[in-house]
Amino acid sequence: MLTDSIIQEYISTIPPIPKVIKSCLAYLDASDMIQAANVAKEDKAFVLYLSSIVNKPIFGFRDEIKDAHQIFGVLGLSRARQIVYGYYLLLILPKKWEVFDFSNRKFQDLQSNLIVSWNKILDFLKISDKDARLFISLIPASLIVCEMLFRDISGTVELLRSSKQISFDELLYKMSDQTLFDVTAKIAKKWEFSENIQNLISMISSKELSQDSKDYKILSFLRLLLSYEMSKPYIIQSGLNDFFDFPLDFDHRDVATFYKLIES
Amino acid sequence: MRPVIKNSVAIFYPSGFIDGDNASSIITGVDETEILSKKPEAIFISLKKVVFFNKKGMAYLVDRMSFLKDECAAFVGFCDYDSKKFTFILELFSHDVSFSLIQNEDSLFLFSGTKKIEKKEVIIYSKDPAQKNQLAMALIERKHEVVIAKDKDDFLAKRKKFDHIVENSYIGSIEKKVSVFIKNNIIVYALKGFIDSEFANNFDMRYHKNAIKVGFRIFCFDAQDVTSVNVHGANFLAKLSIDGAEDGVSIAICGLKAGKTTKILTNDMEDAGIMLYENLENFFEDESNIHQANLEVLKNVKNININKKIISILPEIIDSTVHTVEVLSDKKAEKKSVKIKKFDESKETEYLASIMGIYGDINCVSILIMEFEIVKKVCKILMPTDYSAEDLSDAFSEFSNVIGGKVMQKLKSRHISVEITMPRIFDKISEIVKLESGRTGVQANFKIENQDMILFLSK
Repeated sequence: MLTDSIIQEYISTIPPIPKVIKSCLAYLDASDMIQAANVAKEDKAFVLYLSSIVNKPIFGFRDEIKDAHQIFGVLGLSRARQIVYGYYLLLILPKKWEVFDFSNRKFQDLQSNLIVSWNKILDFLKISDKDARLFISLIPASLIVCEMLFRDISGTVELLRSSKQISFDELLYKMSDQTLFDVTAKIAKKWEFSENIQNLISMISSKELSQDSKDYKILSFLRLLLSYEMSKPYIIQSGLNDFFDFPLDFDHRDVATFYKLIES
Repeated sequence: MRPVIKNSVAIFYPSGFIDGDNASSIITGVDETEILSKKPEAIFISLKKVVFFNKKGMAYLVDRMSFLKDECAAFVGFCDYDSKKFTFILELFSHDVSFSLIQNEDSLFLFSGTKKIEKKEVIIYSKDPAQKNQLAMALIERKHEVVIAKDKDDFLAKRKKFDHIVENSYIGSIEKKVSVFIKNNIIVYALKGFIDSEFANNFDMRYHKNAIKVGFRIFCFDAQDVTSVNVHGANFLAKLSIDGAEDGVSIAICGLKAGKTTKILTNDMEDAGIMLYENLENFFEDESNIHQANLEVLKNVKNININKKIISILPEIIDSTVHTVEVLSDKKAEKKSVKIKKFDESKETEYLASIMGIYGDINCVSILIMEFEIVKKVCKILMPTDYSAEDLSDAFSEFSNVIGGKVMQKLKSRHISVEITMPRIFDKISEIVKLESGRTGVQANFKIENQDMILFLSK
């Protein structure tokens, strides 16, 4: 059984953000990409991460980009920020996935796909809000949360799910009254993300999202994006397809627009 | 994607988008192998969590379901959708569909599966006159009381008076020759069509043998909708009766009227010990059948003593049970005693019990008894918030299945290969005492927050 104290204990094990990364972000916030790249170079693992992400086919760069200055240069400020925030998740990535037949390479594919698709969506919706761009970087943390929380009871969970359809999100909620995104929002709080971002994350699974809410459009499209990405073959094969549990009452025009946009 | 297989109905629950890229990941070769080994009555894809689907993705799924339908004569299709999706699917396939569409999962279990459902009053609405009749026939064959709404207004006016409503549904074809339900501890096989060599080849012997193992002793074949029985079909039923006699099993056939078979074949079946009744009602009115179904179990047990082999798997069974209970209840189970004894519990109310047969390298029966309060705790995540006694019983059955699965896994790691039968649920311990009286077994008693849990293992 997963209780609040187990979740709290897990949150307490989450490491703080390294100084190098914080400093790099501060320079990016000040639009100083040269200093940001200089700082990034101090951490070889960080540069390796940036390079592995930016060279994924979805970003569409023909030649391999290795240098931090080049990386930030080709990404631009907004995407550079998203990817640096994505590095936070490397701090909590498991060495080996046990609950899901997943890998850290596939996880990085997911991160990249979400960032690229999300930017397409925000451009289409003409949303330039900084928090709306950034919070996509944290969403994949929900998968790590799920992997880590269910690890000790994975055998029981697997058998339960073979006899009854129940998503991981619903299972966690039934056990602890918290959704995977509530826990992800707590991680966002620990890493000092803005309250706006914490709220957006915890509202992803909300059953009471009103059409009048200012965040309705953005959350509706985010749910569509998550549904789409979690239907990809590599995700289904990993056992992650039935992961979230949010309402699927989309406007059919939004669904058509989304599919056209994402497949273009 | 592994399907959930429950009460002989296999359901896939994809989530998100279904298109040509991902459809082959939804029903994989591994899934097909699993389904073919279990031969469910129905194979469905739930669209409950599906946001979008296109023709390419759906056509692939229909193709794989058609293959499975041919291989195990199952009822196949899609369920859990709204009226927009229903219309869209019919349009995608130009209203020419070989599969079925059942609007929700509850309705699906009216049409198929071994879940024990009392006779329900069902109202049907369909714009398609042929479909109205198809849907009605399928439900009547499952013994439900059916009313067909004349039109939409009639449907809207009457719908609240019925246990179930069936609309936005479409029957491709139900070719399964045998459907099964359980009443008063008697297994009833509802037959239809021709009882011939094909019937004999497709009869699920594995299910039948497992049911005998769990303690079912009377099997009734309802032949009301049978067209005819030929020599191969009659011989098969006669052999089933003779083979079953060794285990004290009786077989009855109801509704085998003159014209459906010859006098000679009828005599042959009677000579093989098959009881013949005019119809199912007559059969259940004969109290001796009910009596035998509930009391006869032990008369033919050959060896009732527990042996070393069975005791050797006790740790795996205890570990699996205790671990599952502790994980789902978040409470510690405290072992109070482990004894070899006869089963003689005198507790009566506020308990639920499940009995499962374990067979293969080791053959035994496992009984799990738990007090209601702890049953409610462990079954919480398997039930809706407003649950009924039937939901609790179903959830306890699923919970027992989970334990059974764990036991199989644990024993496999010791290179002991076993299979587990479906759990039979009892709400009276006295029934178990009747079933187990005279058997020596090993009994482990536990306390969980002052609530009793008993595990009894016997041959």
